[in-house]
Amino acid sequence: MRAAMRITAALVLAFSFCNSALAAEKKELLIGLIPEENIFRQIERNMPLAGYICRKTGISIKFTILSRYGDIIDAFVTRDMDGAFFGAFTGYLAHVKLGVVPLVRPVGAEGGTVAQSIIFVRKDSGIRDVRQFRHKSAVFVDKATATGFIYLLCKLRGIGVHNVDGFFREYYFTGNQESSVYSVLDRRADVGVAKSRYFEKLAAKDPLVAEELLVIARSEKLPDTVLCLRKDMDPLIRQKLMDVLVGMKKDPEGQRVLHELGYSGFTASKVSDFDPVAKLSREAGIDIRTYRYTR
Amino acid sequence: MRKQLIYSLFLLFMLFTLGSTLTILYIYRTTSNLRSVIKLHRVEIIRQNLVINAQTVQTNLYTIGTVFGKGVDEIVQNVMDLDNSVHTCLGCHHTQEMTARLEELNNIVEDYKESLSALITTTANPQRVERLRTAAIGIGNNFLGKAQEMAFIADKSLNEKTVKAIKDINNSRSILIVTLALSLFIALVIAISMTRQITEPITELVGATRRIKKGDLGYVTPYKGRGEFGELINSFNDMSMTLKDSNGKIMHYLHSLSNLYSITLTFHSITTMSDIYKELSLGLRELTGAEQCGIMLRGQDGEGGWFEHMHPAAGLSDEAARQMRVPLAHMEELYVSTKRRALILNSGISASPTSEADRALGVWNVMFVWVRHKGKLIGAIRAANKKAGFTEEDARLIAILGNNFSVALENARLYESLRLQMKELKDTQEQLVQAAKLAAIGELASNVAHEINNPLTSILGYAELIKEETDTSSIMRDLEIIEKESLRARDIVHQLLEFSRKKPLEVKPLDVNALLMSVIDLVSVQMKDSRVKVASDFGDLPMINGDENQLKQVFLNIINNAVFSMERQGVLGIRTHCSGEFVEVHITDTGKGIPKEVMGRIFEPFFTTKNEKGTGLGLSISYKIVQSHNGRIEVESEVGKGSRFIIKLPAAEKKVIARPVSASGMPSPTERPEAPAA
Amino acid sequence: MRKKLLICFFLIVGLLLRAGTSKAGTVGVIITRGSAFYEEIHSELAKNIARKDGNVKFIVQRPYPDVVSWSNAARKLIAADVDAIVAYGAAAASAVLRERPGVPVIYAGVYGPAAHQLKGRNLAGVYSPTPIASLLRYLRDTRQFETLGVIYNSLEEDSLSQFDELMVIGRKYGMKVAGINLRRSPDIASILASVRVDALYVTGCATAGAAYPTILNMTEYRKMPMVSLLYDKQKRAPIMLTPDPAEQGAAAADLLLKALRRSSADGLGKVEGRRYLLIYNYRNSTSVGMRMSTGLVTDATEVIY
Ligand SMILES: Nc1ncnc2c1ncn2[C@@H]1O[C@H](COP(=O)(O)OP(=O)(O)O)[C@@H](O)[C@H]1O
Ligand SMILES: [Mg+2]
Repeated sequence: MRAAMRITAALVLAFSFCNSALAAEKKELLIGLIPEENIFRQIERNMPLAGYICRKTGISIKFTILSRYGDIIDAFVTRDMDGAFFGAFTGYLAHVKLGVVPLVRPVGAEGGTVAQSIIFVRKDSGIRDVRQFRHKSAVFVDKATATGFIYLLCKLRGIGVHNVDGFFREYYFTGNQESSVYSVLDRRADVGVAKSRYFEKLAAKDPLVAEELLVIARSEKLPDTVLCLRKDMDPLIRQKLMDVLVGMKKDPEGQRVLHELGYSGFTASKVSDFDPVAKLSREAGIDIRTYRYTR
Repeated sequence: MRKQLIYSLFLLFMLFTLGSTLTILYIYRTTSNLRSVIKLHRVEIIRQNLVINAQTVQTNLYTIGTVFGKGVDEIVQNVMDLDNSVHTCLGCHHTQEMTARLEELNNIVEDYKESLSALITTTANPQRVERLRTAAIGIGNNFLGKAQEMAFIADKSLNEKTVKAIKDINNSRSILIVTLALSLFIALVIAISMTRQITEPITELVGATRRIKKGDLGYVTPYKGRGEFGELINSFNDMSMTLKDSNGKIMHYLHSLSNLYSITLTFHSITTMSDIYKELSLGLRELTGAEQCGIMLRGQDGEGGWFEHMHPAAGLSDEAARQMRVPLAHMEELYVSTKRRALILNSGISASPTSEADRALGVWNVMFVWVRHKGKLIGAIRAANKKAGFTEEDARLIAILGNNFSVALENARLYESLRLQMKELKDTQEQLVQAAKLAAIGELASNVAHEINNPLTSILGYAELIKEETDTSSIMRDLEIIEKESLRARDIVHQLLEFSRKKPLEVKPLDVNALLMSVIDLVSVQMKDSRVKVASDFGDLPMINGDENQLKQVFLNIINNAVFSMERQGVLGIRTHCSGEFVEVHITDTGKGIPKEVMGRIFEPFFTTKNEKGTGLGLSISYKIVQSHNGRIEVESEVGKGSRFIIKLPAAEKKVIARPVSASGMPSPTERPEAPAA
Repeated sequence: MRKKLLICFFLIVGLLLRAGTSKAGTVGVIITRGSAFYEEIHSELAKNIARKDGNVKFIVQRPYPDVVSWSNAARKLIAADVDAIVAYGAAAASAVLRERPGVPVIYAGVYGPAAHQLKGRNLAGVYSPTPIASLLRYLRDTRQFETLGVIYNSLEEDSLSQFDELMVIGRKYGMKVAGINLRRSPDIASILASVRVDALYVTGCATAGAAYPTILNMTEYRKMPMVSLLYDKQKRAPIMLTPDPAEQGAAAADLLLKALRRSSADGLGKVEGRRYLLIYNYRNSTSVGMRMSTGLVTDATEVIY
């Protein structure tokens, strides 16, 4: 009830304000959001951000869900987007393929700005080492995530395995972090890969996860989410956006918006932020220019 | 008179006020109802929006994955619209049930959002995506179904409200009309009463009515009125006469009915056929006053094809009745041609099916009433020679009797077949008892075989010896031993045969002690090489009435069980004494006892704890037997210590018979006890 | 010496001939009354046997779920001189083993931990380590609650060990678990009317099976969320998880035929069933106030909308 009211309120606020104040200003920016969990809640959370930017800079923003159906890169191009919040791997991919430029990345409320990939098994399975994975069954999240798949490729390369297909008895992608964890807990698979933040969230909620599962490998820290803009973006707008986003944490109104998003602030991002991902992809033997991950 | 006038006008005024107040009230209610009907219509529009939104999302779902990007934004927008319309609904005031339904609807929308998100978010694993799509579609359809259901409810209440409003309008209209009409009528009455005196003839009529009510039927009032009043009085007098007539008829009919009732009552209490015939024909005569009365029935023998007159019959000798028969086909034909109604021949009796016999018997009028059972013609009631001639009413009464007769006939037949079945049941029961008896023998049999084997082995041995003997005296000695052993074997077999032979049930005075002795004798074979000791203590007992063989079986069963429970060592106690009007037999053992959970079931047929060694029949049969002797079996038992079975049988008389044989006898287990002398 | 050798030879030839031809066998079957699950496994078993070897005759006993009835059923079968005994559920199997039947005993439909406790000679069977914790998790995903009622029967080992396990898991989750020991099915109405729980977990016991319509009607009426390990053809429970009876029946049929052919079940061992039916009745679950779980939707083998 209240949630719905808030959404409508936010929508009305975001658009009405900007339309009246900045009728003269050029067109609005289209920014993609990579969907996570519940997209309705996600939009609801991001609406205040659009309103805030609009009020502060006069730039009107429209968020759209960057569906993962089809190629994100294609979608970015065909839908004529101005920017998007990418994940580590997709961001890197877009950077390489389209030349998008990182602008800012959010800093988590707990101070973290990064993600980690973990590999886990059931404690009672006796598996403790990557070498023991042979002929076991495995479960991954998604082909296009560093934390949900590519890290494992690296580990396998480390022991000289170049192809997952013959190595595991069977494997599949769940497309969902939670389900990857529970597949291993319920013995549907022997080995699982997931983003550590999700794993820990589940472990806090469900003591069986903490008790019966064992993390046997953990990746280096990787960037979590990065807002990138297309390469031919007007530098003036770029700068304006950068200023308002980075300055948010010092502004009481901005803090309220950040709180809603669960961030403590935004910090400027550089191309070098993608380095760990680049390294990981290299180690995993992925040629980023030809990597296909659509279904 | 003036006072009357004032009162009436006042009444008129009150009526008017009441009518108009009610009308105003109804009109008020109608308008408020109409208002809520309008509101409901508005809600219906909101609901339609809801459904349209949901349907839009559903169609989006079917096309998702074909054109991308824009589709998702659209879905998101549509779902949010959907969400909003649900919340609009929830925001209004509703009944508790409606709120609960809306709450559920809201939950489903949340589920819908969840599943849509999952669908849109998931990329890997096509199977999983497909499942999520199915889920979203399923939940969406669920939502539509629920919304439709609510529409149905809303529609119903809309209908109800509308109907009610219409009813209220109608009500107010009719009240208005009634008020007007009533006032008009009252005004009229007042006017008439003012101009005319009408009380006189009415008082007269009232007086006459009272007399009739008191039972003076046929009273005619002498008052002569004019015009309409005169007519009224005349028709009143007519009515009084008619009342008298019909009352007489009713009394007559009642009389016949009570006759009929008493006849049919006797019908159902008798079960033999000839009694039924007799009652029927006598009853008929009494009822109709005809000279000859009786029943003709479809012949029993299949090929006969005749309707035969049953006897005894009233006014007909058995011989005359026997000769009266009509071919079946002829009777059926008549039955059909009379359209199943009675055949009444007050003249022209040559049309009667029994015309030949009729002529011989001097019949001048005759009537046949058909008797059916389950729609089939089974007979005809024949009545002849009634002075006043037969009437339709006779036919009706007799038809009732005929119906009762067919039921009584059926009852008699059922009674007969019941008796046959009872007999069969009794036979079966006897067979079961016999089977159980054989089973009890079977329990003994292995030991008996062993027992017979012993004498046989020694007979064989001595026979071998004789072949080599030359000395006559030693041959004689051997032969003597052979003879003795043979006799022993014969005895054993004889006893068993005696017991197992099927004997007719024979109740006669019995000595329980003697009976027990013979059973112990039978069993001692079995106990010979076990270390079971028998401790018996026979008291003075009166005779009992019973069947020797059956009671033997009871004791054998219980002793067998006791011996089995002791597993080759222990004490079998047998004690008898007389307590009050009962003879009590206590059979105790020092065996393993009966656990609580088994105790409740030991008397059930086929319940056994002995696997293939038991039949589970012993105790159940014993129980039956003792019960049929008006006795009881009681059991006490303690696990590990043993059991006690107490058989109580009613004594035949008080007199105490002579002391039983070998009452002191405690037959040692190794030695065969004396053959019972009783 | 030569004579003895000859006899031995004939004996061996005879035995081989017997083993080679599929001989007609009589098989005793114990199906505890009230369990649709056992009935279904048995019909699958019979189907499989009929397909492979039509020569088996079944004598079926359906004892009530109590110790004396199980034992009586086992005894009757032994007395009927059957060539093998098939027992569904741990309770029936252990009742048969107690009687030391001397013929092969095959069990099926037994819950993993209970199967490990079945010991005896000439024994083989099918069990399944049903992930009962996952069912509890789905329940928690779909509805918040404080006290969980668990219906079980302490006389049926499968159900009892499921209950024990749920107690442990429940403690870890910090929820109150109230055990409802259903020894006799007719007691269910009075028990459910008096017990104060927010959600119900039905374990696999025959007493609950016989009382299942009442349980479902009452939970529906009281809008109480429930999950169930009971097999139900009508799939009325909001969430139901059971081993796949088809798999259990087929595996048991396999073991039975082998045992009959060799006149012994020794060495056949235990077979683990790995397939499950996870049926999510979304329609019924919403009407008792349970919410959708995406995890459940994607894990379920069947969803009813
Ligand atoms: N004296 C006894 N001691 C212990 N158990 C007994 C005794 N008598 C009867 N029973 C129990 O009652 C059961 C039923 O007995 P019965 O009807 O005679 O059948 P059966 O002897 O064939 O088993 C027995 O199986 C046994 O368990
Ligand atoms: Mg007996």
